[in-house]
Amino acid sequence: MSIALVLPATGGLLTVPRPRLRFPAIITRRGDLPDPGPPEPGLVEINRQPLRFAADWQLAIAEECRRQQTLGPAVFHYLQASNLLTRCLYLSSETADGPLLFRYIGVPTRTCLGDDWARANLGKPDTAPSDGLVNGVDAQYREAIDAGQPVYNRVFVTDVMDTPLSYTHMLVGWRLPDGRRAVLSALELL
Amino acid sequence: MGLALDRLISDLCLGAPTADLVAACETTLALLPVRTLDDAARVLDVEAAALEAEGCGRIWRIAVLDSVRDLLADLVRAGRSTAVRPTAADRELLLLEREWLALLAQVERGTGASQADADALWSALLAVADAPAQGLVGALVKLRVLVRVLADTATPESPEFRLLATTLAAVERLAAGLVAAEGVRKAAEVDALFTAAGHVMAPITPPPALIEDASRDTGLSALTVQRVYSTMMRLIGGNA
Repeated sequence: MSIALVLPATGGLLTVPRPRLRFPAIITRRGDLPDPGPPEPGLVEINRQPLRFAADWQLAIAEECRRQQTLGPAVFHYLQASNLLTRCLYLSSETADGPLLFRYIGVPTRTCLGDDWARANLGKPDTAPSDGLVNGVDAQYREAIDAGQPVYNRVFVTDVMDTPLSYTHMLVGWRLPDGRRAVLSALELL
Repeated sequence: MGLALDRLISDLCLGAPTADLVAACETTLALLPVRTLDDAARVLDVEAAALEAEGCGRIWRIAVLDSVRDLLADLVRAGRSTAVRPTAADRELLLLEREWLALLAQVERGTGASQADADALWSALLAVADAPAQGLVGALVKLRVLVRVLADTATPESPEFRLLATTLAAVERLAAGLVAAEGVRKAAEVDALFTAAGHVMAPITPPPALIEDASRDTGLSALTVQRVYSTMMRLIGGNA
Protein backbone atom coordinates (compact mmCIF):
# COMPACT_ATOMS: atom_id res chain seq x y z
CA MET A 1 0.00 0.00 0.00
CA SER A 2 1.38 3.38 -0.93
CA ILE A 3 0.70 6.78 0.68
CA ALA A 4 0.41 9.74 -1.67
CA LEU A 5 1.07 13.40 -0.62
CA VAL A 6 -1.71 15.48 -2.02
CA LEU A 7 -0.68 19.10 -2.61
CA PRO A 8 -3.23 21.86 -2.88
CA ALA A 9 -3.95 23.11 -6.28
CA THR A 10 -2.44 26.56 -5.74
CA GLY A 11 0.69 26.20 -7.67
CA GLY A 12 2.26 23.37 -5.85
CA LEU A 13 4.29 25.70 -3.42
CA LEU A 14 4.33 25.11 0.31
CA THR A 15 3.35 28.44 1.85
CA VAL A 16 4.43 29.24 5.40
CA PRO A 17 2.59 32.08 7.11
CA ARG A 18 4.97 35.05 7.65
CA PRO A 19 4.76 37.28 10.67
CA ARG A 20 4.01 40.87 9.75
CA LEU A 21 6.94 43.05 10.71
CA ARG A 22 6.03 46.13 12.79
CA PHE A 23 8.58 48.94 12.98
CA PRO A 24 8.71 51.01 16.08
CA ALA A 25 7.17 54.47 15.72
CA ILE A 26 10.50 56.17 16.34
CA ILE A 27 11.87 55.17 12.99
CA THR A 28 8.74 55.42 10.88
CA ARG A 29 9.28 59.11 10.17
CA ARG A 30 10.70 62.10 11.99
CA GLY A 31 7.40 63.71 12.78
CA ASP A 32 6.37 60.79 14.97
CA LEU A 33 9.02 61.43 17.65
CA PRO A 34 7.45 61.25 21.10
CA ASP A 35 7.07 64.53 22.97
CA PRO A 36 10.23 64.90 25.10
CA GLY A 37 8.40 66.96 27.73
CA PRO A 38 10.00 69.77 29.73
CA PRO A 39 13.79 69.55 30.21
CA GLU A 40 14.86 67.93 33.43
CA PRO A 41 16.00 70.53 35.98
CA GLY A 42 19.64 70.40 37.04
CA LEU A 43 20.32 68.62 40.26
CA VAL A 44 21.91 70.71 43.01
CA GLU A 45 22.78 69.16 46.34
CA ILE A 46 24.41 71.14 49.10
CA ASN A 47 25.23 69.07 52.14
CA ARG A 48 26.53 70.58 55.37
CA GLN A 49 29.63 68.87 56.68
CA PRO A 50 31.41 69.14 60.03
CA LEU A 51 34.37 71.52 59.85
CA ARG A 52 36.72 68.71 60.79
CA PHE A 53 36.00 67.07 57.43
CA ALA A 54 37.55 70.03 55.59
CA ALA A 55 40.98 69.89 54.00
CA ASP A 56 43.82 71.15 56.18
CA TRP A 57 44.32 74.24 54.01
CA GLN A 58 40.62 75.12 54.20
CA LEU A 59 40.75 74.81 57.98
CA ALA A 60 43.90 76.93 58.06
CA ILE A 61 42.10 79.73 56.22
CA ALA A 62 39.11 79.56 58.58
CA GLU A 63 41.42 79.61 61.59
CA GLU A 64 43.40 82.59 60.30
CA CYS A 65 40.19 84.55 59.65
CA ARG A 66 38.99 83.74 63.17
CA ARG A 67 42.33 84.90 64.58
CA GLN A 68 42.18 88.18 62.67
CA GLN A 69 38.60 88.77 63.94
CA THR A 70 37.94 91.55 61.43
CA LEU A 71 38.36 91.65 57.67
CA GLY A 72 41.51 93.60 56.89
CA PRO A 73 44.48 93.52 54.56
CA ALA A 74 46.12 90.98 56.87
CA VAL A 75 43.66 88.33 55.65
CA PHE A 76 44.57 89.00 52.01
CA HIS A 77 48.30 89.06 52.74
CA TYR A 78 48.01 85.73 54.57
CA LEU A 79 46.30 84.13 51.57
CA GLN A 80 48.90 85.55 49.22
CA ALA A 81 51.89 84.53 51.33
CA SER A 82 50.55 81.00 51.82
CA ASN A 83 49.79 80.58 48.08
CA LEU A 84 46.17 79.81 48.95
CA LEU A 85 44.73 82.91 47.35
CA THR A 86 44.31 81.23 43.94
CA ARG A 87 42.06 78.57 45.50
CA CYS A 88 39.58 81.14 46.74
CA LEU A 89 36.60 83.15 45.64
CA TYR A 90 35.92 86.53 47.26
CA LEU A 91 32.69 88.52 47.04
CA SER A 92 31.55 91.70 48.76
CA SER A 93 28.59 94.04 48.41
CA GLU A 94 28.72 97.73 47.48
CA THR A 95 26.00 98.60 49.99
CA ALA A 96 24.37 97.01 53.03
CA ASP A 97 21.41 95.72 51.02
CA GLY A 98 23.15 95.26 47.68
CA PRO A 99 24.04 91.92 46.13
CA LEU A 100 27.38 90.26 46.66
CA LEU A 101 29.71 91.07 43.77
CA PHE A 102 32.62 88.99 42.53
CA ARG A 103 35.91 90.68 43.46
CA TYR A 104 38.24 87.74 42.95
CA ILE A 105 37.64 84.49 41.06
CA GLY A 106 40.24 81.84 41.71
CA VAL A 107 41.45 78.89 39.70
CA PRO A 108 38.84 76.26 40.70
CA THR A 109 35.92 78.42 39.58
CA ARG A 110 37.68 79.52 36.42
CA THR A 111 38.58 75.92 35.63
CA CYS A 112 34.85 75.10 35.65
CA LEU A 113 33.40 78.23 34.10
CA GLY A 114 36.28 79.53 32.00
CA ASP A 115 38.45 82.63 31.79
CA ASP A 116 35.95 84.54 29.67
CA TRP A 117 33.17 83.96 32.16
CA ALA A 118 35.43 85.07 35.02
CA ARG A 119 36.55 88.22 33.22
CA ALA A 120 32.96 89.11 32.36
CA ASN A 121 31.72 88.56 35.91
CA LEU A 122 34.29 90.44 37.97
CA GLY A 123 32.46 93.26 39.74
CA LYS A 124 29.07 91.65 39.01
CA PRO A 125 26.59 89.59 41.06
CA ASP A 126 26.78 85.79 41.05
CA THR A 127 25.33 84.54 37.76
CA ALA A 128 26.64 80.98 37.49
CA PRO A 129 24.94 79.05 34.68
CA SER A 130 22.78 77.18 37.19
CA ASP A 131 19.92 78.97 38.94
CA GLY A 132 19.73 76.20 41.49
CA LEU A 133 23.40 76.61 42.33
CA VAL A 134 23.20 80.41 42.54
CA ASN A 135 20.19 80.33 44.87
CA GLY A 136 21.52 77.46 46.95
CA VAL A 137 24.97 78.90 47.44
CA ASP A 138 23.60 82.39 48.12
CA ALA A 139 21.71 81.02 51.12
CA GLN A 140 24.98 79.52 52.37
CA TYR A 141 26.77 82.87 51.92
CA ARG A 142 24.03 84.60 53.93
CA GLU A 143 24.32 82.06 56.72
CA ALA A 144 28.11 82.41 56.93
CA ILE A 145 27.79 86.21 57.08
CA ASP A 146 24.91 86.39 59.55
CA ALA A 147 26.16 83.66 61.88
CA GLY A 148 29.74 84.90 61.86
CA GLN A 149 30.86 81.26 61.87
CA PRO A 150 32.60 79.33 59.08
CA VAL A 151 30.32 77.10 57.00
CA TYR A 152 31.60 73.97 55.27
CA ASN A 153 29.60 72.20 52.55
CA ARG A 154 29.93 69.50 49.96
CA VAL A 155 28.25 70.60 46.73
CA PHE A 156 27.08 68.43 43.84
CA VAL A 157 25.61 70.07 40.73
CA THR A 158 24.76 68.64 37.32
CA ASP A 159 23.98 71.62 35.12
CA VAL A 160 27.08 73.76 35.31
CA MET A 161 29.39 71.68 33.15
CA ASP A 162 28.97 68.81 30.67
CA THR A 163 29.77 66.40 33.46
CA PRO A 164 28.46 66.58 37.04
CA LEU A 165 30.53 68.83 39.26
CA SER A 166 31.40 68.05 42.85
CA TYR A 167 33.32 70.33 45.18
CA THR A 168 33.64 71.47 48.78
CA HIS A 169 33.77 75.03 50.04
CA MET A 170 34.67 76.63 53.33
CA LEU A 171 32.79 79.90 53.66
CA VAL A 172 33.88 82.70 55.97
CA GLY A 173 31.60 85.74 56.10
CA TRP A 174 31.83 89.23 57.52
CA ARG A 175 29.37 92.03 58.21
CA LEU A 176 31.49 95.16 57.83
CA PRO A 177 31.15 98.23 60.09
CA ASP A 178 29.30 100.16 57.36
CA GLY A 179 26.79 97.32 56.95
CA ARG A 180 28.35 95.92 53.79
CA ARG A 181 28.80 92.15 53.52
CA ALA A 182 31.78 90.09 52.41
CA VAL A 183 32.43 86.38 52.01
CA LEU A 184 35.51 84.32 51.28
CA SER A 185 35.02 80.87 49.75
CA ALA A 186 37.89 78.38 49.84
CA LEU A 187 37.04 75.89 47.08
CA GLU A 188 38.29 72.40 46.42
CA LEU A 189 37.17 70.52 43.31
CA LEU A 190 36.62 66.82 43.92
CA MET B 1 31.77 123.40 68.91
CA GLY B 2 34.76 125.45 69.98
CA LEU B 3 32.63 128.39 71.08
CA ALA B 4 30.26 126.23 73.12
CA LEU B 5 33.13 124.59 74.95
CA ASP B 6 34.93 127.88 75.51
CA ARG B 7 31.79 129.29 77.12
CA LEU B 8 31.46 126.24 79.40
CA ILE B 9 35.10 126.39 80.43
CA SER B 10 34.87 130.11 81.05
CA ASP B 11 31.81 129.63 83.27
CA LEU B 12 33.46 126.79 85.16
CA CYS B 13 36.56 128.87 85.78
CA LEU B 14 34.45 131.43 87.58
CA GLY B 15 33.86 129.08 90.49
CA ALA B 16 32.65 125.70 91.65
CA PRO B 17 30.10 124.30 89.22
CA THR B 18 26.50 124.86 90.16
CA ALA B 19 23.75 122.38 89.44
CA ASP B 20 22.54 124.54 86.55
CA LEU B 21 26.01 124.77 85.07
CA VAL B 22 26.53 121.02 85.30
CA ALA B 23 23.19 120.44 83.65
CA ALA B 24 24.22 122.84 80.90
CA CYS B 25 27.52 120.99 80.52
CA GLU B 26 25.75 117.65 80.28
CA THR B 27 23.36 118.91 77.66
CA THR B 28 26.08 120.61 75.65
CA LEU B 29 28.46 117.65 75.77
CA ALA B 30 25.70 115.21 74.85
CA LEU B 31 24.74 117.27 71.84
CA LEU B 32 28.23 118.10 70.62
CA PRO B 33 29.38 116.18 67.58
CA VAL B 34 32.58 114.69 68.98
CA ARG B 35 34.05 113.41 65.76
CA THR B 36 37.75 113.92 66.14
CA LEU B 37 40.41 113.36 68.73
CA ASP B 38 40.80 117.11 68.92
CA ASP B 39 37.09 117.37 69.84
CA ALA B 40 37.59 114.78 72.59
CA ALA B 41 40.59 116.65 73.96
CA ARG B 42 38.49 119.82 74.10
CA VAL B 43 35.72 117.95 75.92
CA LEU B 44 38.27 116.88 78.49
CA ASP B 45 39.19 120.52 78.92
CA VAL B 46 35.69 121.08 80.27
CA GLU B 47 36.08 118.28 82.78
CA ALA B 48 39.52 119.53 83.81
CA ALA B 49 38.13 123.02 84.35
CA ALA B 50 35.31 121.56 86.46
CA LEU B 51 37.74 119.61 88.63
CA GLU B 52 40.06 122.57 89.03
CA ALA B 53 37.09 124.71 90.04
CA GLU B 54 36.38 122.25 92.82
CA GLY B 55 39.70 123.26 94.35
CA CYS B 56 42.35 121.27 96.17
CA GLY B 57 41.77 117.60 96.92
CA ARG B 58 41.28 116.84 93.24
CA ILE B 59 44.93 116.89 92.31
CA TRP B 60 45.25 113.19 91.61
CA ARG B 61 42.14 113.19 89.45
CA ILE B 62 43.26 116.30 87.64
CA ALA B 63 46.63 114.66 86.97
CA VAL B 64 44.96 111.57 85.49
CA LEU B 65 42.62 113.69 83.44
CA ASP B 66 45.48 115.87 82.26
CA SER B 67 47.44 112.81 81.21
CA VAL B 68 44.46 111.57 79.19
CA ARG B 69 44.01 114.99 77.65
CA ASP B 70 47.71 115.15 76.75
CA LEU B 71 47.45 111.66 75.27
CA LEU B 72 44.54 112.70 73.08
CA ALA B 73 46.54 115.70 71.91
CA ASP B 74 49.42 113.33 71.03
CA LEU B 75 47.00 111.08 69.18
CA VAL B 76 45.72 114.05 67.20
CA ARG B 77 49.26 114.59 66.01
CA ALA B 78 49.87 110.88 65.34
CA GLY B 79 46.72 110.37 63.28
CA ARG B 80 43.51 108.37 63.52
CA SER B 81 44.87 104.96 62.58
CA THR B 82 47.43 105.15 65.40
CA ALA B 83 44.69 106.06 67.87
CA VAL B 84 42.63 102.92 67.34
CA ARG B 85 45.53 100.50 66.95
CA PRO B 86 45.79 98.28 70.02
CA THR B 87 49.22 98.65 71.57
CA ALA B 88 51.14 96.61 74.11
CA ALA B 89 50.89 99.48 76.58
CA ASP B 90 47.11 99.65 76.24
CA ARG B 91 46.79 95.89 76.62
CA GLU B 92 48.82 96.19 79.81
CA LEU B 93 46.44 98.90 81.00
CA LEU B 94 43.44 96.68 80.29
CA LEU B 95 45.09 93.96 82.36
CA LEU B 96 45.76 96.34 85.24
CA GLU B 97 42.14 97.54 85.08
CA ARG B 98 40.87 93.94 85.27
CA GLU B 99 43.15 93.21 88.24
CA TRP B 100 41.95 96.33 90.06
CA LEU B 101 38.29 95.51 89.38
CA ALA B 102 38.80 91.91 90.53
CA LEU B 103 40.40 93.13 93.74
CA LEU B 104 37.58 95.61 94.23
CA ALA B 105 34.95 92.90 93.76
CA GLN B 106 36.78 90.62 96.17
CA VAL B 107 36.91 93.32 98.84
CA GLU B 108 33.24 94.17 98.30
CA ARG B 109 32.26 90.52 98.77
CA GLY B 110 34.20 90.39 102.06
CA THR B 111 32.68 91.23 105.43
CA GLY B 112 34.90 94.20 106.08
CA ALA B 113 37.85 95.75 104.33
CA SER B 114 41.05 95.45 106.26
CA GLN B 115 43.89 97.94 106.08
CA ALA B 116 45.77 95.42 103.95
CA ASP B 117 42.87 95.32 101.47
CA ALA B 118 42.75 99.09 101.31
CA ASP B 119 46.50 99.25 100.69
CA ALA B 120 46.28 96.62 97.96
CA LEU B 121 43.40 98.48 96.30
CA TRP B 122 45.26 101.76 96.43
CA SER B 123 48.39 100.13 94.94
CA ALA B 124 46.35 98.59 92.14
CA LEU B 125 44.71 101.94 91.45
CA LEU B 126 48.05 103.73 91.36
CA ALA B 127 49.35 101.07 88.98
CA VAL B 128 46.57 101.96 86.55
CA ALA B 129 47.15 105.67 87.04
CA ASP B 130 50.91 105.44 86.53
CA ALA B 131 50.86 103.09 83.52
CA PRO B 132 51.19 105.01 80.25
CA ALA B 133 48.40 104.85 77.67
CA GLN B 134 49.21 104.92 73.97
CA GLY B 135 45.87 104.87 72.20
CA LEU B 136 42.18 105.48 72.67
CA VAL B 137 41.82 102.08 74.34
CA GLY B 138 44.24 103.18 77.03
CA ALA B 139 42.60 106.58 77.37
CA LEU B 140 39.24 104.92 77.88
CA VAL B 141 40.68 102.65 80.58
CA LYS B 142 41.94 105.68 82.49
CA LEU B 143 38.59 107.45 82.21
CA ARG B 144 36.62 104.32 83.19
CA VAL B 145 38.75 103.83 86.28
CA LEU B 146 38.34 107.47 87.21
CA VAL B 147 34.57 107.24 86.84
CA ARG B 148 34.49 104.11 88.98
CA VAL B 149 36.58 105.76 91.69
CA LEU B 150 34.20 108.70 91.68
CA ALA B 151 31.22 106.37 91.78
CA ASP B 152 32.58 104.90 95.00
CA THR B 153 33.67 108.15 96.59
CA ALA B 154 31.21 110.76 95.35
CA THR B 155 27.48 110.80 94.99
CA PRO B 156 26.09 110.15 91.53
CA GLU B 157 24.62 113.66 91.56
CA SER B 158 27.96 115.33 92.25
CA PRO B 159 29.06 117.67 89.47
CA GLU B 160 32.41 116.02 88.92
CA PHE B 161 30.89 112.55 88.60
CA ARG B 162 28.19 113.65 86.20
CA LEU B 163 30.63 115.62 84.10
CA LEU B 164 33.17 112.84 83.96
CA ALA B 165 30.51 110.27 83.06
CA THR B 166 29.39 112.56 80.23
CA THR B 167 32.98 112.99 79.10
CA LEU B 168 33.56 109.26 79.13
CA ALA B 169 30.43 108.70 77.05
CA ALA B 170 31.62 111.29 74.53
CA VAL B 171 35.07 109.68 74.20
CA GLU B 172 33.50 106.21 73.94
CA ARG B 173 31.29 107.46 71.11
CA LEU B 174 34.32 108.90 69.42
CA ALA B 175 36.32 105.68 69.85
CA ALA B 176 33.47 103.57 68.48
CA GLY B 177 33.19 105.91 65.49
CA LEU B 178 36.91 105.81 64.82
CA VAL B 179 37.06 102.03 65.14
CA ALA B 180 34.13 101.71 62.72
CA ALA B 181 35.75 104.14 60.28
CA GLU B 182 39.00 102.19 60.49
CA GLY B 183 37.10 98.95 59.81
CA VAL B 184 35.41 100.48 56.77
CA ARG B 185 38.73 101.77 55.47
CA LYS B 186 40.40 98.36 55.92
CA ALA B 187 37.54 96.49 54.25
CA ALA B 188 37.66 98.85 51.26
CA GLU B 189 41.38 98.20 51.07
CA VAL B 190 40.74 94.44 51.06
CA ASP B 191 38.27 94.82 48.19
CA ALA B 192 40.89 96.76 46.22
CA LEU B 193 43.58 94.15 46.94
CA PHE B 194 41.40 91.23 45.81
CA THR B 195 40.20 93.09 42.74
CA ALA B 196 43.75 94.01 41.70
CA ALA B 197 44.88 90.39 42.20
CA GLY B 198 41.95 89.12 40.14
CA HIS B 199 42.91 91.24 37.15
CA VAL B 200 46.46 89.92 36.91
CA MET B 201 45.75 86.19 37.19
CA ALA B 202 47.21 83.85 34.60
CA PRO B 203 44.51 82.45 32.28
CA ILE B 204 43.35 78.87 32.71
CA THR B 205 43.48 78.46 28.92
CA PRO B 206 46.61 80.17 27.68
CA PRO B 207 46.45 82.05 24.36
CA PRO B 208 48.14 80.15 21.48
CA ALA B 209 50.77 82.86 21.14
CA LEU B 210 51.89 82.22 24.72
CA ILE B 211 52.29 78.51 24.04
CA GLU B 212 54.16 79.17 20.82
CA ASP B 213 56.52 81.63 22.51
CA ALA B 214 57.18 79.22 25.39
CA SER B 215 57.71 76.36 22.94
CA ARG B 216 60.22 78.40 20.97
CA ASP B 217 62.04 79.61 24.09
CA THR B 218 62.28 76.18 25.75
CA GLY B 219 62.65 73.92 22.73
CA LEU B 220 59.75 71.80 23.97
CA SER B 221 56.86 70.85 21.76
CA ALA B 222 53.71 72.95 21.95
CA LEU B 223 51.84 69.94 23.34
CA THR B 224 54.38 69.50 26.15
CA VAL B 225 54.26 73.18 26.99
CA GLN B 226 50.46 72.98 27.06
CA ARG B 227 50.61 70.02 29.45
CA VAL B 228 53.14 71.71 31.72
CA TYR B 229 50.93 74.80 31.83
CA SER B 230 47.81 72.77 32.64
CA THR B 231 49.63 70.92 35.40
CA MET B 232 50.87 74.19 36.83
CA MET B 233 47.36 75.63 36.88
CA ARG B 234 45.97 72.51 38.54
CA LEU B 235 48.69 72.78 41.18
CA ILE B 236 48.04 76.42 42.01
CA GLY B 237 44.32 75.70 42.00
CA GLY B 238 44.82 72.94 44.53
CA ASN B 239 43.68 70.18 42.18
CA ALA B 240 46.87 68.34 41.32
